[in-house]
Amino acid sequence: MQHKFSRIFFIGLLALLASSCDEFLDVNTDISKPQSASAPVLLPPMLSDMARGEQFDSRFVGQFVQYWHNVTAGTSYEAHGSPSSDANAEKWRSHYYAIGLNVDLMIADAEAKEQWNYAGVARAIRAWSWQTSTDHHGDMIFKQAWEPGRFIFDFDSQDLIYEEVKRLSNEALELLNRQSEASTTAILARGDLVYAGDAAKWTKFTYGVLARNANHISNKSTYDPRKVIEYVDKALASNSDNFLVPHAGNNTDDSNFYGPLRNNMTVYRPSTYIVNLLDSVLLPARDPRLPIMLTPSLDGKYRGINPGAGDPTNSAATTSPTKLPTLFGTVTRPTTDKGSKFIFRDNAAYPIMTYAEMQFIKAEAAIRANDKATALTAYTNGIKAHMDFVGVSAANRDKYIASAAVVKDASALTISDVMIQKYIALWGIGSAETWVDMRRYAYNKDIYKGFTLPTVLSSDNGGKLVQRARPRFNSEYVWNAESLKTIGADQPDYHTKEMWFALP
Amino acid sequence: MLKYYLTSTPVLLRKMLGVFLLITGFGATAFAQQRVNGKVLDADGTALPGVSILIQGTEKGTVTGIEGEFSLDVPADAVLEFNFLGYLKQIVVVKNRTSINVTMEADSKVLDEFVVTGMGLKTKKDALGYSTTTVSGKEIVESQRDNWFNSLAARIPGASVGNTSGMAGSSSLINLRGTSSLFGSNQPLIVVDGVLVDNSTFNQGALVSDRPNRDNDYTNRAADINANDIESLTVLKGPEAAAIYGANAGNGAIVITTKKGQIGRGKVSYDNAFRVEQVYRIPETQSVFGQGNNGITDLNTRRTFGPAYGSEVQLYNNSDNFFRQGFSQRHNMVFEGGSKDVTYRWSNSFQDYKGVIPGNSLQNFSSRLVGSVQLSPKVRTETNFAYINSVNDKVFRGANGVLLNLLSWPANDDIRQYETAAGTRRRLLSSATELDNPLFNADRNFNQDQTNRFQGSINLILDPVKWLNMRATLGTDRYTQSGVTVEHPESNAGLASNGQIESYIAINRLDNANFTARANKKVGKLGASLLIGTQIVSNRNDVTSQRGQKFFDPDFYNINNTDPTTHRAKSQITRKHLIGVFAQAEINYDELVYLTATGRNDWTSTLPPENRSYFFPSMGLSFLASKLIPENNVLTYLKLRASYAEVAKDAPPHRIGSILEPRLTTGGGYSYGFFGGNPNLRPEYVVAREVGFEARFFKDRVTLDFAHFFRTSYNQISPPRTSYGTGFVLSYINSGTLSNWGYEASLGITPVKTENLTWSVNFNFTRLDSRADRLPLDLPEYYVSDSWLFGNVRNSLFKGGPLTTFGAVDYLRNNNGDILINPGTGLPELNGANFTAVGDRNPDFALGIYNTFTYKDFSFSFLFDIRRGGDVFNGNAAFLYSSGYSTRLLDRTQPYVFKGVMRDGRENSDNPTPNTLAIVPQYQTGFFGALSDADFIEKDINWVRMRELSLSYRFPAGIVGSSKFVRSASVFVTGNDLFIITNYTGADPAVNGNSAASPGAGSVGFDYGTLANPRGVTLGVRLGL
Repeated sequence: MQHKFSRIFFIGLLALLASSCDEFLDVNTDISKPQSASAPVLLPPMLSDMARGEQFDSRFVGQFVQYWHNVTAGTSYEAHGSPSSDANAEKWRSHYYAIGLNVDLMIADAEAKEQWNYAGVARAIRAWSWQTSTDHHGDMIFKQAWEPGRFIFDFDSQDLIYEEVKRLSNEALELLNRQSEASTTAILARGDLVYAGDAAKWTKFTYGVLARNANHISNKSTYDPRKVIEYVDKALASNSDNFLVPHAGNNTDDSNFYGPLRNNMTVYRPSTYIVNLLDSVLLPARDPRLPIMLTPSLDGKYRGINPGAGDPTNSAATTSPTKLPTLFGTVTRPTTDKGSKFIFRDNAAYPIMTYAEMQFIKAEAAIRANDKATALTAYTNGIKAHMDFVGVSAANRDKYIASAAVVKDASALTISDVMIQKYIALWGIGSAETWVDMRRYAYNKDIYKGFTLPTVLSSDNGGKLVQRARPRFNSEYVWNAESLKTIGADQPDYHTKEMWFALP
Repeated sequence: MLKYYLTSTPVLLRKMLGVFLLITGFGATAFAQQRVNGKVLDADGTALPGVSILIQGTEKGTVTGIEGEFSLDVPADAVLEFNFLGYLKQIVVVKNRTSINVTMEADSKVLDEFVVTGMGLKTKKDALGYSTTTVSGKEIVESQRDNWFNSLAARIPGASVGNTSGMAGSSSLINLRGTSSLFGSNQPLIVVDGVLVDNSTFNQGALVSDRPNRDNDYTNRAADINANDIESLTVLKGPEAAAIYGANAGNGAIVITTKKGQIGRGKVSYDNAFRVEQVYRIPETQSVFGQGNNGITDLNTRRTFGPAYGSEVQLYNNSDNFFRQGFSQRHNMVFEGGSKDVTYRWSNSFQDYKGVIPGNSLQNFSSRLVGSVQLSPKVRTETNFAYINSVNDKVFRGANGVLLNLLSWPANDDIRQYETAAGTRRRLLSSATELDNPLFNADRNFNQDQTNRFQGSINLILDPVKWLNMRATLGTDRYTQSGVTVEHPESNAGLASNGQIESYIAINRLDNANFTARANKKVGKLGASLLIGTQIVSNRNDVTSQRGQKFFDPDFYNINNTDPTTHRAKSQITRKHLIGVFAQAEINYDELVYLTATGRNDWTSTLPPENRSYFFPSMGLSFLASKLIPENNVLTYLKLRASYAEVAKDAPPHRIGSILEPRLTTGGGYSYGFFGGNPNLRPEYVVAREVGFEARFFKDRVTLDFAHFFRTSYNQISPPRTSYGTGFVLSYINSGTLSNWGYEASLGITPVKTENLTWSVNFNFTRLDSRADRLPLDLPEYYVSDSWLFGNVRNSLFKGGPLTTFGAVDYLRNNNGDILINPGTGLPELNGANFTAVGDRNPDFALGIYNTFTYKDFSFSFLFDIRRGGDVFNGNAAFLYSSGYSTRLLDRTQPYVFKGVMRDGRENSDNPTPNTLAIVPQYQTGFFGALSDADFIEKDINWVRMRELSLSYRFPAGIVGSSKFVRSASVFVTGNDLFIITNYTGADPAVNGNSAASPGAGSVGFDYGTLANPRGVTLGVRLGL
């Protein structure tokens, strides 16, 4: 009896061993999480990360360009410093990791299925990411980036990355134009939360990237304003082309980084400079965007804070008539989204690129090309477009356009006029581009009239102004430190080293 | 001849023989002068049937009956010898007595002779080339620990045992001989009756909220095993165990043998234990200064840098008003019995335990049925089934936990008033985000786990021929652990989300099938045995979790009560399969020299197919030197041993490819997770060497066991952080070499041994050292991010340094080592974000001293846990200092000058400028934020801890025996953690800032936001029916 039983047992055991060993061991794929995904599934997180990377770092860049300031006096960033921290290096994380290899995964899937529009979108996003990341960080890991099996990486200079943006953009344009049965609007719309599958708009966005790429080198002899205008004319053509990353705003994961739920903007208040620009201190008319973008104190007066000075009313009672409200528009951070305003709402879409910005780029290039008539049209278009974007009524908009604050004589239009209106139009939504502008113009007070630099600079700076964000601390300083030395990023004043794009 | 026969036959046979002898009157004699009646019991008061009794100098005798009773006619001056296998021989002089009750003492030597080394295999201890430690179930039960892991502390040389906190249901970890994996688990394998048991601690990474393992604790699941079911526990410390158990035993193994039913009359035993518990050593806080900053009252901050309280201010002892007296009751009931062919034991345990923190409790129920059936003379089966249910109500720990809530509460406010008249949270500040009132936190936040577990195994044992033994085992361990956490909408943690509820269900399955065959052969003086076997292991864990936010009604705790648009769910499934085949050959010459060689090949699912098969061998040599010297009373036993073992450890599951993580951002979708996979992973390799000896002196009154080991782990599989240029935050690689070495000694002395009084003392000594020979990717620093709990202190590994190093951001110093002072502020300057080695958690040595006294029916024992050296990060002190509650620097109104030199460019010159800038801390709160966190690493912490103290009394058989109902009875009182003498200024230097789920070298010695072990006294009764 027991012999029979044991014989069955042993035979069973041997059979199991012999026949199904490999099958038994092939359980190393995670069945709760995939290792590849289709392009429509990969795109939405990339779009969210495009916004997150810029918004995250805009908290610090916003202090350099004086969009807002910290309520605490004397913080390092207010003094153009760069403490050893991951802060102000979210772009680094976003470029290499959050968007990073997902682009290649998307390209692989799209090309295998002949979804050329996805393949184009993937390249357009990477081109945009290289452009905005190098504008933030300068020298980056380029040639060796994402190389399998490599853990120590060399740095490459910015000019190579500027070339790469052009190469990728051109590839993207070609693919976005390429037709196939699988390359339809409906298929692209499945993952495209921004342009609902409209490849033509992605084409415009890609030209927008090229316009920035061509315009940022305005100090160089190779700068070609005609090329810039050509790109702009193929780029976003109205507010309906704006690249807006949507936010569901239900919880901290899908909310706008600037919204009250995320609680990222609670320590910032508007700068005196933006208040002065909008509240008829520096320009001869009160801007109708003022009550939409900013909030007055209880006494009805708009206040901002000066760089590095902190908010003198920070510890004042919430009922104090002069207390500065938060950017959300309320005195304390609202517990619900109601009462929050402008782009500081939980479900506000964040603009990666706007038609208004394109028009100001065109206006600047046109002045440089001595075509002031074109410049004036673009300048006026830019102001109008931004007013429409923020929700100013047509009547108020036209009233402001008619006022002395807006130049009407083409011959009188200056770079400063354009840059100041561009500065306003990018307030809160384009800190990165504004920082590029300010560095191109060396924080020039003749361009940014009424702009005052912080009185105290970080002791690391040696009296110089901030020019770049350091590579991410917990990526490069800790794990790739030897390579950093080759570009001088180990030096305390590395962040004041001028960018390649700003140099002649 | 008779004696030999009696002691070698099965118990029942012996009993029958005894009856036969009685019936035939073999023991009765014509020369009877008197009749002696009596009873033979074991040390627990249990009757021993089948004990042979012989009148010295004759061949006359008898055997005890089923109740341990005997009756024998003897000469008045007779001397009786009592013999029973496994017990020491007792010699009793009759001296005209007619009633003699005898207690047989277990012969530790005999019990020690065999060690369970694998899959139900017993190996003669003489043959082992490596050291093992065995702890009896009795000792574990007597320690009265709720988590039996904790009873092993200070009892095992080479082991460090740590309870992560003093909360009911907290996880506990055991580490044998240091850290062999940088990132993997370093916990030993737990085996019960040859079957693997899951000892994982729930990892919060599986939750929707993907929390770190520091704000909540989960029981390490081996704690589910009822201590009362443990017959004995053997600790196999080195990777030698892996030869049989496979890679999972690379960190050693704890092999548990459960109690089995005894042949004889059915028995029912009941025992209980009632414990009261008190919080012990809460960090002190100051009650001199009130809320404010810079010496100015500010009621909008909880920091107490304000002015001193006036004498009119009423102050509260909030600590006393927070903690309660803990109470635990445990009841065990066991039914057992057996005949020649069938035995069974059914053990039940129920516990209800309320911890010292309100809201913290643990309820356990365990039922285990163990049985065996002799199907035929050559076939036997053993089965083991257990059902376990556990409910653990917890409170949050760490940064947002009740302890730090409590410590940072101003003394002029009564924490008991945590509600407003309307029943909402009473706020101390107008700031909505203020830390919780601890009572509110414990009361309104909810945190519970429930576990339902089934363990079962079937063993089929065949002895087809005398020299061959075969054994097949099928075992399974399945449990469902589910839990809920609620962050109340008004609590600090739940404020931003307007209330959050998260629940999870973890379904865990660990199946294993083993088959072994062992052949023994003896030819002349050569003995040999060959073992072959195979093991198949299948492990799967499914965790699903869901989360909802935005409570409709703040006080209704269900996901139905949350905004549907906030609902999130997550699933995590891990699977791992393994097949191993192994062989072990042992040859001995005249039982004098033993040579054992093993080899094992594993095939694992977690490595790429081309690397998934790997082989590892081991060798052991044992030499019984004492057999070569004439028998003497000084050196009774001497064994020299040496061993060499290799073991390969596989990778964590699903790390070959890079995994996409679902994203919760708008529109959902997938993107790569933090971890980059590696299609070229190979196994980690561990090479271990051990030498040692075992000696017994003076008729075993003194025993000494010594071991020295050295272990190196190569090709560490870990995911270090790397440059993001890889496309990932962390990448799995094979890189890095670690070494551990140490000395272990255990010395047992029995200074007194008389008929009535025995005193024995046991010393367990451990010294461990470690070194990071090579860090992954040759990075200058590797750290375990889980350990980065507070401030800039973490467990950092630096090349060439110990694995237990504290890395911290220290002060900037000049070449002379003086602290640099900022000439503008007068405050010291910190070294940016650079972590340097500032301390080491590893103690110089650990020593356990266990004393037992038995006097007649009294037994008294106590265990000291002693440690010397080793640093501890007092994170609580750092937190309290920076928030104004520290008792340090209470003379803060006095000017203070930091010792150091100005950083004025002359700091490295011959004449640096000494700092003379005086600061009055009271008026400059920034003063309290200027210290390096390294200042709160307390150096060379020693302790003497009274771990256990136990007194028990067994009612003599005479008293108990008069009752037919109760057959044995004893009472006991046990104290746990009654006191600690230490130079540590914080609460408990042994706690752990993380749960046992934390990988690598763990976070023992990081004291932050964690409750100290409470002290408790347990009273109970044991009855045998």
